[in-house]
Amino acid sequence: MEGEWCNLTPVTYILKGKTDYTIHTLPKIEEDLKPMILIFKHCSFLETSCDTTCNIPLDLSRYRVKVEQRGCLLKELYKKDEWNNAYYIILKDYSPDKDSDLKVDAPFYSEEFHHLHLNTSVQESFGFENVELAYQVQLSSNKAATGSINISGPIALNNPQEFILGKTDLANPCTDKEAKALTIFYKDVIDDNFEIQPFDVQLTFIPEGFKEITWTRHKGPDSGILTNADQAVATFSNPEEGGLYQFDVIADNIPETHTRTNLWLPVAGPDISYYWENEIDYFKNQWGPSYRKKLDRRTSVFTTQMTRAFMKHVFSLNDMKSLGPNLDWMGQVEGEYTPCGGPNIVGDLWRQTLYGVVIDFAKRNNMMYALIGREMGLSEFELMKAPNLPIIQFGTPDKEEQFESYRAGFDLFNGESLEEVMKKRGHKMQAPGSWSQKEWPSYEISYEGLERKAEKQLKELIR
Amino acid sequence: MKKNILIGIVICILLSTNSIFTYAEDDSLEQFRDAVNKAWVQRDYEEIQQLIQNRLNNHPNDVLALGVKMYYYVFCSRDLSKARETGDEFFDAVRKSGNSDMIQLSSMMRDEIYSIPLSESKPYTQEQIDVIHNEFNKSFPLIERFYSMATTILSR
Repeated sequence: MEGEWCNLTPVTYILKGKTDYTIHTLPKIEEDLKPMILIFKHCSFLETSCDTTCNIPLDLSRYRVKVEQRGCLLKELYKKDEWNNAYYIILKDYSPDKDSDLKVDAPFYSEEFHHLHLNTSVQESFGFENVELAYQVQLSSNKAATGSINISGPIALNNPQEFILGKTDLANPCTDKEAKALTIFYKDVIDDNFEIQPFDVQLTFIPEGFKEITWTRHKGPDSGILTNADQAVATFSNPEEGGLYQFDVIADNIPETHTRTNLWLPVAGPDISYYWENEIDYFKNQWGPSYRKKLDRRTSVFTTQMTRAFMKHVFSLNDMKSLGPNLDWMGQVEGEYTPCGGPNIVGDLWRQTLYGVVIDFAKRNNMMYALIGREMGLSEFELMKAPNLPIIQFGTPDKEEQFESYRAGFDLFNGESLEEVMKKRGHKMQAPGSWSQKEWPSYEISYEGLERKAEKQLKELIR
Repeated sequence: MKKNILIGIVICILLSTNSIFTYAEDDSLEQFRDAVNKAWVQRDYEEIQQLIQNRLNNHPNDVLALGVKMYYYVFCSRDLSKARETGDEFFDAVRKSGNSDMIQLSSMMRDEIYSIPLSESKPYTQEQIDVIHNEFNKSFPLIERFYSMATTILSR
């Protein structure tokens, strides 16, 4: 094929890592001016000489770019260092009509009009192994998690987040830790009163210069506003619900430019306030009174008042010693869309939403343990210090967020509502840097429940 | 130079001796706890009393032995006057540790003993003894608490 001339219409992209790449054409029926853009990254063969007109070390003759009617073509060459030393050949004012066909002679393309096949040997001889993405589609935000995000797996560079042109089958960050997504944490968009502050996400199609750019929502929560959707840089503003938002972009209706992007606002599991309220109600109004009634029976042989009170206390402590380590509510309630958040890791498990606040497995359990302990007649001191003191003997040393979860349980025992307690203590129960802080509360409500790990023991204590 | 090396060796020996002593203490605490539990399950109160006495003869301020002794007078011999007396000794021993949470706990335990009037010092009936042993059928009442307090103090 070397030396053979072939028609070439504007290039739209070169797929990264491929031994062949596709040249897509703009519709010839359009007579409008269309730019042609070739973008190469790290191309060593570009260093042969200098094009004096643009002062770039690029020998255009190496590409044997010719125009049959020179008057129809203007050339511009760019090098942009900030894009990893990418070299751009931008051919403007090129009208793909019969009289002004751009012809490029290169040994690596075939006669096939739309596709140039770059086999391995040719690729190597031209130093073409590092051909990378030509066009860029990016999401960025000043609220995005900075640097890298470690989600117990590969570390992904977050902001800005680039997406591959023409790729629409994106991995889902809800389930795939290697998925590409611009990630914005809840903790980074709320103020001291835990109110979401306005913020923007920029949706950028590079380069500019197309006649028609269209950004659309593909899917995601019904929240936020997309503006400038017909511009190369569109803006998505003020989403107030967590989840996976997907935006599509297409340039000049060219199917090959159709690109999908992920904006990930990690979100916890559904709101299970209904279920948790029922649990609270059960332990306060059924289990607690039943336990105390049975404790009365267990100590009924002690007829003197204070000895009996003493026995009740030590019996309760002994009960909690065996019950406490099993006072867990296992599992995760799932909704149609949530959770779609971070991984479940030890110490940061199974996060759900309670009255608009994300709470993890351990804090929920601590809260209920404290409530149940008070129902059993144990003191706040004994219950709060239990994991840290040789009182009941379980658990590991607590931090302030754990103590806060015990206080939440005491508040519930003292008659405060779950809503009040979550408002007062919910965010204080979240460990700094935990996924409880990072995740957005779920907008879904579920009436499903969790599994009481200590169900058998709990029943035995009231039987 | 030789002198420095010698001092270093002496320090190392002292440190290792201290370490051995601590482990030995832990071992003896564990042995004492296990022996008390064994006697409790067998309802051998005389043996418990003897174990406490032996332990305190060698370690007069031992929190584990004092705690067990305090509860011995509540659960076994039913002598609330001696329980109060031992409760004070127990509290003093814990107070020396300087651990505010443990001091608060020992204070609560002592106060709870004091809350039982001396007039309730009557010996337990067999039914009451059976109930107590049914509730604490594997170990002496709350002995793990005293054991942990003692090991915590020793580890400081």
